[in-house]
Amino acid sequence: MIALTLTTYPVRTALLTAFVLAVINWTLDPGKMLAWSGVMALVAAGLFSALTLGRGEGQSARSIRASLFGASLMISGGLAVSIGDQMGWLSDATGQRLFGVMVGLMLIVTGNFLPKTVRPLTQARCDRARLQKIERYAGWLLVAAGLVHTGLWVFAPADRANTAAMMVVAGALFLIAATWLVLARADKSRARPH
Amino acid sequence: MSTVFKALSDPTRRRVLELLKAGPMSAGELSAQFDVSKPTMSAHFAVLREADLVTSEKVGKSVVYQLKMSVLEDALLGFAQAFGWQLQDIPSAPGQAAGSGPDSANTRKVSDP
Repeated sequence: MIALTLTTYPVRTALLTAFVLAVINWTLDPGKMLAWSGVMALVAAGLFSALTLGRGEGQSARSIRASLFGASLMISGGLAVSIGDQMGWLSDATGQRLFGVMVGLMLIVTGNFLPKTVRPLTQARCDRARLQKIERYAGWLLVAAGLVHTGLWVFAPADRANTAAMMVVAGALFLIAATWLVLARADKSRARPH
Repeated sequence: MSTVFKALSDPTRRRVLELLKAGPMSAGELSAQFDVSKPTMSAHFAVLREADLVTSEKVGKSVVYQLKMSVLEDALLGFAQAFGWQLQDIPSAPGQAAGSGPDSANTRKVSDP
């Protein structure tokens, strides 16, 4: 749904905001010049893509715009937490918790839209029914993992939240990969002549 | 989002989405599962396409439908199935009787000749 409604203006604004936040971080902590310049280069590349894309209304243009918008929000969030940390507005634990919550939200959004990415049947290189099954399953698992990840970073003790959240995400990714392999194997054995 | 609620408010359209969960199906295969006329089925497909819950593609001589639901929309479908949302349950605009819109004609069951 985001992909359908997003225009070029909010995308460019979000990318510019991320760029400005990276510059502020560089000013506050020049020792990490390499890291900040890397982030600025990444955002600048995104901005270049957004400008090149123009006001394209095709499916891919809308999808790229939505991805750029999501990525710039994530980068801006991280950079804003870093500024708050350096200015002494946030304690180390709060900064870590905020970042954990942002990662959880990113997992929820990614998982939610994963089954909505449909490729044309004529370009299908594998069984579409299997791909659809795995995408739906992966979407649900990522959303569930994102919710648990966010919940852990909000409510669990700070020293345990990191390990538990990582285990949840790793477990979800393992289950997705395992299901993919099982379905692929089942398809192969069904296709084999008896 | 209102187009999604409208699409999920009809049992036939919900059944179409359930059938598509198994994989892409042609319009003919889907229509064969229902006791409704082809124009009525086409109207249902149009509502689903408008809500961006399915995509259609011409493969050879037939039109093939594919599911295009986010996790949230999938969960809404589950709720709609569980609680049996109907078109009449959705509040209509002032001055318009519930179920009197163009959609009500599409959801009326018509037996195939």
